[in-house]
Amino acid sequence: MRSSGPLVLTMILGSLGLGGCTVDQGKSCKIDSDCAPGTLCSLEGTCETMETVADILANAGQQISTDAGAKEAKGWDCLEEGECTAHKAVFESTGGTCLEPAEKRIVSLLAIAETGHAAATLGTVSNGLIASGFENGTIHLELWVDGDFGPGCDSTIAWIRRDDDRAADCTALFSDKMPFAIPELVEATVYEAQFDPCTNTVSGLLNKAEILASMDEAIRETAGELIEEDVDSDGDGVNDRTTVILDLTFEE
Amino acid sequence: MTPNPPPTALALPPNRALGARFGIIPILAVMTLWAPTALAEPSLTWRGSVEADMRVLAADSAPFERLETTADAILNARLSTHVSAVGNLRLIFREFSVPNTFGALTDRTRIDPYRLESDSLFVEFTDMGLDGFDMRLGRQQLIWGSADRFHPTSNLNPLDVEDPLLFGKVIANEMMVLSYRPDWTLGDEDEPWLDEFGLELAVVPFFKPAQLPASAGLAFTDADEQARRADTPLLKKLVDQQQFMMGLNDPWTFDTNPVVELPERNGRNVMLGARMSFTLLDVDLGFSYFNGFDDFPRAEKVVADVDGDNLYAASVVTLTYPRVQVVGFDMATSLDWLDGVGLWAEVGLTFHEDLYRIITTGSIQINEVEREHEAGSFLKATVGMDHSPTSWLYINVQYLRGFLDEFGARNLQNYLVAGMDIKLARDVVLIRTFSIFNIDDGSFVLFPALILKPWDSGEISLGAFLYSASFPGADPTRKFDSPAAGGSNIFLKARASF
Repeated sequence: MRSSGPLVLTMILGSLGLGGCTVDQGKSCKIDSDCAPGTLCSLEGTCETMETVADILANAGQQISTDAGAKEAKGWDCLEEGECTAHKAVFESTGGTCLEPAEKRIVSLLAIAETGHAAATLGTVSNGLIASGFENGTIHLELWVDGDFGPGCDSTIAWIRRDDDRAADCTALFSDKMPFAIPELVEATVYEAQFDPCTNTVSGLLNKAEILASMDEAIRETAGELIEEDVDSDGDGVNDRTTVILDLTFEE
Repeated sequence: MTPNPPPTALALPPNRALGARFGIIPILAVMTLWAPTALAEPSLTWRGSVEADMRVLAADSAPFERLETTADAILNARLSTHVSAVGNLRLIFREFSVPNTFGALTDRTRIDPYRLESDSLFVEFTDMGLDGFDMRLGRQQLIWGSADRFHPTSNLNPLDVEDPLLFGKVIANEMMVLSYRPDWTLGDEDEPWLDEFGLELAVVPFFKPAQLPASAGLAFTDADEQARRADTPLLKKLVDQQQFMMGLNDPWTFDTNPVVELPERNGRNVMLGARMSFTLLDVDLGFSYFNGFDDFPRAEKVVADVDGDNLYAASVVTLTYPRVQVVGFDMATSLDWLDGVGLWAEVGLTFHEDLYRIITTGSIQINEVEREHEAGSFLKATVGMDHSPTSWLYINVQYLRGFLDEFGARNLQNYLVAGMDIKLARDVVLIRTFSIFNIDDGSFVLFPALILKPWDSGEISLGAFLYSASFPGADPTRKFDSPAAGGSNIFLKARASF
């Protein structure tokens, strides 16, 4: 007994390194300190690696986008086969009276897609404003189609907001680009705009500097942190444009 | 002393008598060692105090920061040579009535609120079968380390930083402490070169978090404070997104609700500490180890519920406490050749695993996880000296590496802590000044006080606790300029001790 006290303490000290037992990967947990080193407690309550948790979160984000973005049919059937409507080059420069396009469709709603492009973060804050703009008439946009979107047919499009978007020589101001506005927030242009009649989407590039310049100075700096440039348009190795995808709905 | 016979009679069969005789000898030996030495009478000593504390914020309209009256008593009971007990109770009346409902008007605790605190409530058994082998069980404060107030090696008790005037105050924890302090010396009997050897082992079954000041809540309610504290890419992304959405012509509203998740109370989360100390050539040395949790919370998860139609998002921030191990060293000595200057150093090396943060905001499209701190270690240290060059002057200076609430290698800053006492009129008047200066950002705290002791057992204090935020040139990004650090105040205290 006389020599056992220090021995007991020494043995206990030697075992201290084993203190703080944790739970292995895949087992249930409540907080990160429950989990073994290199793992954390996921929102589902199991210990997982950081990579696994990141995948779960990324999938959850896409699921939210899918659910929230589910829309009714947009009213354009790109697979319709049949005789092509003639392409009349209505948007080419002429000296005479401008010809009318085969079809004019009014855009009833426009939304920034919530995933799949670098400007997605603008969607959450902007889509409500855009919808309001269409509802109260602040935004007016039409798609004029010369020709036909059917398989094997020729087509040229123009985006028209008002009369002066078509010049006196019949050319369209916005043909390979598209005007893009978020009321009271942004005035910009989508460059290299590609319209997909199968999905009624427009994909293209935004100029971040142009967007920020059109914004109120008070939020310009913060907005700059949110918009990422992900495309190198001039081949100098530096990203200088931002991809964007817009979902369109047309009036019947 | 004749040993007492065992409680059961020795009615054993004859063929076992011999074995029984030899078997009983160890039992008798133990009981001899443990036999009580008579103590003439239990010794009970107590002391207490009553204190009134009035503080006013140094702000427009001078609102009261607190108005408290405290009665404190501590009882030491030495019940026998081997058994003692200590009990402390502190009753604090807060004087801030909060009867916000009619029912509260019938509730005395709402009209006249109070709280109880206890720094110690434990039983101690000394020389348990071995001289110097003691056990202490109950609520207690076990402060390790030689430094003054700032102890990077002392982690068994959580800090109480609610009152900035009480630096270093800790909250008692229920714990079992085994200590062994043999009367070992090496060297000359009158001037040994090694003595005061001691071993301590502490077991703390339940984790208890630090008590924070009310101003700490600004980290969740104040948008600017949130922005200042966003020190990781993901957190900064979240804050930027929120600020952008709040700046729109149709701004969003964000609510943040912090919730605390403590480690579960089970064997996996028991905290342990061990310390070996001795005096070597007149230098007190200590080596310690701690395995448990850091007592300041961190945001582990941010989960937002988004209502896009109403431009509203409510976030639940889960606060947890990281698991850590701390290896510590401390030393203290007095330099006789330098007029008795006291010198100390205390170093705590904290080890931790990867610390992660999950942020999920649904349709706001921030659904990511980041590693806030990579697995590794960081060093906190306190090095200081004190000296009384005259009978009326006392000087204390310390360098701090890493403040109380700082965690992680990249977050540690450097501080200079300095104080001075000037005694006048035969110790009736004490002028005390104390300051903390952040070397990295230039912010500071000043703590001047005038303490009067004109009569025995009585004391009056008048002073101020001033943050650099109250001075021109304040920058809220600096530590002591931040609103979350607290507000400057002026205090008047009166105390009677008995």
